[in-house]
Amino acid sequence: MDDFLPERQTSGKPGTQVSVWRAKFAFLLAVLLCTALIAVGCGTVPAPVAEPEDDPAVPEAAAAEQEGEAAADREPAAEEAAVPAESSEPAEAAEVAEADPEPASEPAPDEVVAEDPPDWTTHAFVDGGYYVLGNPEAEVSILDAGDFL
Amino acid sequence: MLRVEPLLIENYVAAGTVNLRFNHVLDHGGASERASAASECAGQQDPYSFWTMHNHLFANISSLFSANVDTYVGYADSLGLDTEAFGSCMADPAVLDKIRAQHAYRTNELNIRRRPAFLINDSIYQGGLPFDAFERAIAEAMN
Repeated sequence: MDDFLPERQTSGKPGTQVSVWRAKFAFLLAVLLCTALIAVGCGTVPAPVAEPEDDPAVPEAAAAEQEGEAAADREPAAEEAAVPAESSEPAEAAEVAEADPEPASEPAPDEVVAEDPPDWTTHAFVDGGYYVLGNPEAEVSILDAGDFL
Repeated sequence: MLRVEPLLIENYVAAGTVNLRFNHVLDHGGASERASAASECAGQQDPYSFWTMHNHLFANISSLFSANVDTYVGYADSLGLDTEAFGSCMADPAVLDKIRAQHAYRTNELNIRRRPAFLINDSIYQGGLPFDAFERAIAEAMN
């Protein structure tokens, strides 16, 4: 290998130069492929760990017994692949956490409910020429036919 | 109604289940007309002022037979009303027409001859009623 490369680099023939460029290209391709494989490998390496996905209870129990939350910090990818249920739990928790402020920010309906009822004893309105005291929606209306004197 | 009305207000009007209205009866001629006109003119400034004047008139019932317009303007002033507008209203014949029409309705339409008399929803009660009689009548009207 050490002898092979210098020979190609020092060769002055065009065919030899082409083969050198091909070799370089092949080398680059190999590097790229390796890089790609490594990159893909990072994503797929946990796959074997995720194989027990068919029985998620095993990794869940193991993770809970051994490391708990720390394991989730160290191997997030593996946990996501192997224990989708756990990965969804934090999401639900996040949703709850996001939803928490909503009830807190909805005091308006509570305030409306908590509002004091109207003081009908000082509420008057005009109806049919009469000055009516009380709730316009009252079930019963009493008409007092009287003289002030 | 004078003695019972506060109980009705406390127990029913405050709860929003009953409302009250007043139909003018003019059994004492001009004195009745002036008193009724005073309540109407108070109501023109604010519906609730009708009721404050209504209460004030009943509280001063012994003075009403001899009361003139100036007396009522004084009442209006004591209740914080606009006395100029109140005085103009007292001279407005439309007010007199309105209270006379109510008196006629009571006599001719409701055929009420006794005083006091009450129309509780569609039922007429003539003569003074104690509070428990109002309670029963209201319960009946609500059923």
